[in-house]
Amino acid sequence: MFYRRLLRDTDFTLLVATVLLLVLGVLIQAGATVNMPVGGDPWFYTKRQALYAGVGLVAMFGAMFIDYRSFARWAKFIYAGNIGLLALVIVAGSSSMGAQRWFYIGSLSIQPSEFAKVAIILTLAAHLSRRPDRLQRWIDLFLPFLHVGVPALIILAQPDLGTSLVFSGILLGMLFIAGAAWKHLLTAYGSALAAVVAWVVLHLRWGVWIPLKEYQLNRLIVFTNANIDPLGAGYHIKQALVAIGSGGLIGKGLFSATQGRLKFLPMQHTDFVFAVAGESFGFLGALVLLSLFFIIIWRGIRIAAEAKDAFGTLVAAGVVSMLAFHVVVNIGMTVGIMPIAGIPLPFISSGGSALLTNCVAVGLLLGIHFRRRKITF
Amino acid sequence: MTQPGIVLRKRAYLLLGCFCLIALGIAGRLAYLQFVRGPYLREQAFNVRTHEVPVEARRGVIYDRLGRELAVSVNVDSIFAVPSEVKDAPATARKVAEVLGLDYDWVAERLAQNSAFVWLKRKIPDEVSQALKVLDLPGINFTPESRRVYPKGSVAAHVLGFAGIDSQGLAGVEYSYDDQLRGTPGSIIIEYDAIGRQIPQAMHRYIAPVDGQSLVLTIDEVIQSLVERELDAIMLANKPKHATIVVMDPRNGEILGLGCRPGFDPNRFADSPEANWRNFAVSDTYHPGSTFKPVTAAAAVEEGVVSWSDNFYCSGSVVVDDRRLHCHKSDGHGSLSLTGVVEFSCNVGFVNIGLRLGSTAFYKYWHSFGLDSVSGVDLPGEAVSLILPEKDCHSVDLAVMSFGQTLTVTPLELMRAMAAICNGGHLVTPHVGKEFRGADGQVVPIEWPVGQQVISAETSREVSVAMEAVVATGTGKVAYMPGYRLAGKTGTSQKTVGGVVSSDAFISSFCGFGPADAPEVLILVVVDEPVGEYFGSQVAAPPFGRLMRDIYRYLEIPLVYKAGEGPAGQGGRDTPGSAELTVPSVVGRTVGEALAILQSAGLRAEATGDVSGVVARQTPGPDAKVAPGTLVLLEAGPGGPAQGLVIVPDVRGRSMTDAAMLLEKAGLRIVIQGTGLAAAQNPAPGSSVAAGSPVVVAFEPPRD
Repeated sequence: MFYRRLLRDTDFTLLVATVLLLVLGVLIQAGATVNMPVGGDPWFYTKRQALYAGVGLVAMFGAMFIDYRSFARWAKFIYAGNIGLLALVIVAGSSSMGAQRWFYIGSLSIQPSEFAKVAIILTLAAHLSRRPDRLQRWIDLFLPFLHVGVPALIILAQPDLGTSLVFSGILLGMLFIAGAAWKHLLTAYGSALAAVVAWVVLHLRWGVWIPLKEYQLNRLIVFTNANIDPLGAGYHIKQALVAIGSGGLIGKGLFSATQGRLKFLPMQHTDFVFAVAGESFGFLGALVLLSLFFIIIWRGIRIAAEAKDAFGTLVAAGVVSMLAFHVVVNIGMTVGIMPIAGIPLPFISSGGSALLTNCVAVGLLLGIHFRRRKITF
Repeated sequence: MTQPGIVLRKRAYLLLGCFCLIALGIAGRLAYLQFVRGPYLREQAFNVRTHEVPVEARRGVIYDRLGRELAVSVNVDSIFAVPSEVKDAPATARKVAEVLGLDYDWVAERLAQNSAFVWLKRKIPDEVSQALKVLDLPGINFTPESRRVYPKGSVAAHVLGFAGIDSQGLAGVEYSYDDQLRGTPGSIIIEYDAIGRQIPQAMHRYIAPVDGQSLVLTIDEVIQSLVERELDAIMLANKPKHATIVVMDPRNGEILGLGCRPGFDPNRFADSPEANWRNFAVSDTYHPGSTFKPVTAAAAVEEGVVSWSDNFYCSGSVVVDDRRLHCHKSDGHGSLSLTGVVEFSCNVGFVNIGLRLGSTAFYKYWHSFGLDSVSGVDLPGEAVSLILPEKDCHSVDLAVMSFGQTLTVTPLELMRAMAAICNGGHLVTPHVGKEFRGADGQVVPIEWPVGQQVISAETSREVSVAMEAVVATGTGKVAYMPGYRLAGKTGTSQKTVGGVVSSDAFISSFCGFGPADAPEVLILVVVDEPVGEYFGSQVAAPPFGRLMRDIYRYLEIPLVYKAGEGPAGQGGRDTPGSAELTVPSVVGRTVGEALAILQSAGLRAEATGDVSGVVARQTPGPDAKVAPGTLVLLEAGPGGPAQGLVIVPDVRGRSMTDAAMLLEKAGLRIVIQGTGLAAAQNPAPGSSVAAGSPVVVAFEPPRD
């Protein structure tokens, strides 16, 4: 009985696409990190990624089988716990590369801002689904902005510009699906973007103070001209372009790609992992990756449209917004058409917290789909 | 909000559409990067991870005709940096700037460049290189390069020219034979990762340089030194603007010596003004004046318009086309035979000869003597003669050109014509290149084809006899020495300054050869604007005579006395001047002893070759009668132990770069087998082999 339903109501397209991405992620990590042995083990990062993928799969099925509606009931506690963790990491976390983002438990590092994404999706969905209005007035947008703004500002203070930008993407997607007025969203996001651009221009022209470190600013503007910072952010983007461009149609092969392996490409196993994929597997390989992401987004949108209740719709919309934002910004910066925001590629980039978060997010989608029928057993 | 409605579905698929468009945009960008920009980016990917260490080819040696070195290449270090390997750039820059004597900011800026390879300083002295090596700075590397050294200084500077910092020939034979001398540079290509570590097992390619071929010149260092000596004497005595002497073998066009003043030292060519680099023998034309008259005479005799029995009358001037042309002897030479016209350089006589010849024939011989084209010498920058176009040539023009005025030639063009006049009538191509010698000892002669017959052997002989009379009894008799059978022609021409014939700027010249009946040596002396005396007979003939005297002795050309002449010291004269001293023999003595002996005998001396050895040869030779203060040239040979052996260094365990540099440093060539680290070598370390020998080094990948 249960198994028949499992076969009937599981979105296998989404599941298979996700599993394929996890497998590709392990392979690409192997190619990218074989020259970075840890403790003499060249396969350290590969093994770790495989372990995370396994744990991620378990978490995905966990999230699928827990009835997602129970998250709505726990929303207050989830929100409070999330803010607490984010605050704690500022006070007591470990810093690395100039940012304070991690907790260490033994050798395991935990990045609360990753989990915060799912937490905010769930709690914002709960908040929006309970509102009687349809967000047609300016004032209606105040609470949702505050809801996302508080954790986003804490994360910005770590500092982690990329992740806080993800939050604004999630907010936009969920408000849009929740039915907020076009003109409000366009005005709010448009004027925010205009304000940022104006601020940066003012800073560059007249030295107006800006709450960004030099390297962050350079990353933001370098995609317009790699020569702005040829040895820093410009170097990253140049090396990424060289890596991808040298891949050609079918690539150089996983262990023959040189740019990533020889460390000309910085952050080759994290933020710039797509360049390694492009160099190793060429245009066709990159297209396969892009297609798998497209399948996940497409299924996610379908699941949002077909969900049983508004909460499910909004959670699915949040997950889709989050994944889409990650994919577009990450690949966009790697191919040189977006600012270097420093956010990872879902399922592929090294990093356990992000992988786990994304698996749980897909698990939520699978769960919403699993329970899309109004008549339940 | 409670139910997903129509609006929501519309919005959800709108979102999907947006994502779809962005994904397509990204795919398009990928296609552009990987297909349109792909080849360029692939190239970048290769370049960024390989460093190419250049291994310069050794430039070929330039020898004189007897194998004496005129230009050699010595190994010196050049310093380059691999910025990605530099640790602690400010400290490194400070140390490098201090040792190399460079500006700190400049070095720091070079070290910060995002480039795999930057030169810091090229071709530095050995002690500086050692001082830097001791510091052992990461990212600062050494590569052997060769620096050009001209061991004889300014001797033959205008023939040799010089080579620049990249061993590229810039002037002289260094330029004209650059392709052969230069060789092909090699390189060591090493693959590095981004933090500058050599990648084990990765591509190490050694592209061996192909050393340049050596060049043997027709120049004889001794004759060249004599030329330099006479040029110095002319500059001292006459203070002219320029002076040029060329010594040639008229039989085949081989140039035995060629010098110009003002000169320069090719070792420090940049210290002399560029004007001093100019080779006037090749690059400048001048009015040959009377030295051109033998050409007119030979043409007229060959054409049969005059015969040796004809008589010419000179009243001191002649009227042609309403213009009165004067002879240099204002009261006239009176009645002269053809020989007499040549002997006394009578202008009126030559006007008559030229008018008889006619302009058509005159221009025909101008062409066939090769005067209307470059001489074809293998030196760069050759100029070409100037003459009135034939259609504009009136009788008066022909008359004036017949005695060598208004037309201009280069010294080498005139010598080429004069060689044909004295060598039996055939054209030669003046040249300094004799043969190439490869590294394997293979000799490749440079072919110089024999040109066409211009005048008959008989005409050649007859004109030579007339020119011998010039030296024996005519205007060139200051150069006369019994038994030498010298022939020649003086020349004194007025310079054209700014289109006007000047009355006080002259070119004095002398062109002559010997022995007159079978010439082996042809010499042209050109003195531009001498101060004081300006007649060719006074300024150019004495150096010609002194040169001939010493060259005859050096080449051991036998003296043939005519009836009425006697050997030197028995009533005859052996030198254009007074002989008062007998040169003592210093052969076999050390150079120091020889200098002392010659000095005490009232002579000057100059040594060439290995001055730590003993005198192998002296010029003038023992027992020659010379004027006090005459310069005696000493050629010293090695007196010590066998030279040219080097000890083979131990390169085992070294990387390919290190091994190549060590062996190069020792003057040995590396032959590479395999890749990795040096495991074995042959010959063994410590053995003594000839410099330049190959050392076979077997490389194996490191075991762990």
